[in-house]
Amino acid sequence: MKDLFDEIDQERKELPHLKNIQDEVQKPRYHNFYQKLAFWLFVFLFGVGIVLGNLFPSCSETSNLFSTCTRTEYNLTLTVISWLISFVFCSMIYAVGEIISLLTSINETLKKRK
Amino acid sequence: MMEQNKKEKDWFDSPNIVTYVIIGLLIILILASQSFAIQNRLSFGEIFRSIINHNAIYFITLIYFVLLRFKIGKKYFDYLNVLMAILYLLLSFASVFTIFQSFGLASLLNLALTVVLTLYFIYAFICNTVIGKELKISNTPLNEIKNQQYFSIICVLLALILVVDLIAATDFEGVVISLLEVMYQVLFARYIYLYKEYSDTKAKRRKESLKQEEVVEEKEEPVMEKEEKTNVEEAPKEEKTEKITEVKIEVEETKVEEGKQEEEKEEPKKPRTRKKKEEDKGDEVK
Repeated sequence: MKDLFDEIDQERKELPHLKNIQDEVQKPRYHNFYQKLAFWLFVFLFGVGIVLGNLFPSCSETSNLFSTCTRTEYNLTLTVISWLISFVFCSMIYAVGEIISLLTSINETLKKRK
Repeated sequence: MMEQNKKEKDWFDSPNIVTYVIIGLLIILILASQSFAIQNRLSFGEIFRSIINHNAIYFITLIYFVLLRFKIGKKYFDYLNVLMAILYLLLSFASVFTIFQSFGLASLLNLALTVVLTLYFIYAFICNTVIGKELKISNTPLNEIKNQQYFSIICVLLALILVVDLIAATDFEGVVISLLEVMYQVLFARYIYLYKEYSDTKAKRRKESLKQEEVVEEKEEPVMEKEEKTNVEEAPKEEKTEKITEVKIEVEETKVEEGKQEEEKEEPKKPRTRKKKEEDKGDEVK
């Protein structure tokens, strides 16, 4: 049987360089109101997710006698789920902003032609 | 001999067996905690809030280890490790908040364990990747602690957590779950340890092969230099003879040229003397 790490070493694909990722992310773009709103709303909902995980903790230990929670822990699942939902919601708002910006650019080009 | 060594290898030194055991343990752990929750007649909300939160991390690591058995997992091994590192960072972040939820020895030990595990994971899996090299993680204090030391720190922390959990456990299910958890975490730490050992030995082999190549080059260089020297020593002799012949030819040529020049010089002198003689004769006539 071949060693697992040898097999991985033969087939593994290298990670992309950080510079390439930075260049892709930091492309100069104009953001309209909806896109800015989507970004700041996501930042806010990110914080809300952390608060939710603290507000509704999960139980890691219960007492048998009264079946009450004796030890609680931070609810990471709730936080991650809220992050995912807020990401989807904010990306929808961002997409609306993108559609509006495309329509305005089409309108401007049509006006110029006239 | 190599085959014998491979056969003599312990099961906890083989990454193949360790990953298989981890997969088995994770499946048992998830199924056991789910069945205990149903046995205790927990409501759907409680199962969703507590058991899924408890099992989510185990479920994600199970997917990670199952993917490693397939070609896709092997190909995108570094990508999976980055995702796991992010997950462990999130876990350490969650365990910080757990201290605010229920402050105690168990939560403090859990925080210490998740932080050390996260650092160990980044040290073993991210350091040697492109991102690790660009971020220069190897220059950070992470490398101050050695692989063996990381592993032993985690083992000590896990032993303490097991003791605390067993003291706090009030039922059989709690004992089983805490035992399974500790076993899984020891094996996970072992998996990280084995990978780091593998990458270190590989780096050492590379260095040794490079050194050997350098030594071979150094050995070859003197022979080449001797050959060059002998060529250089032989060359002057030939050059000398060539130079001597060249000089001889040049001397001969110069002699010939000088002879010609002398002849040329002598020739114009003659008419002058004649002229002088005629002038002298003319003066005498006058």
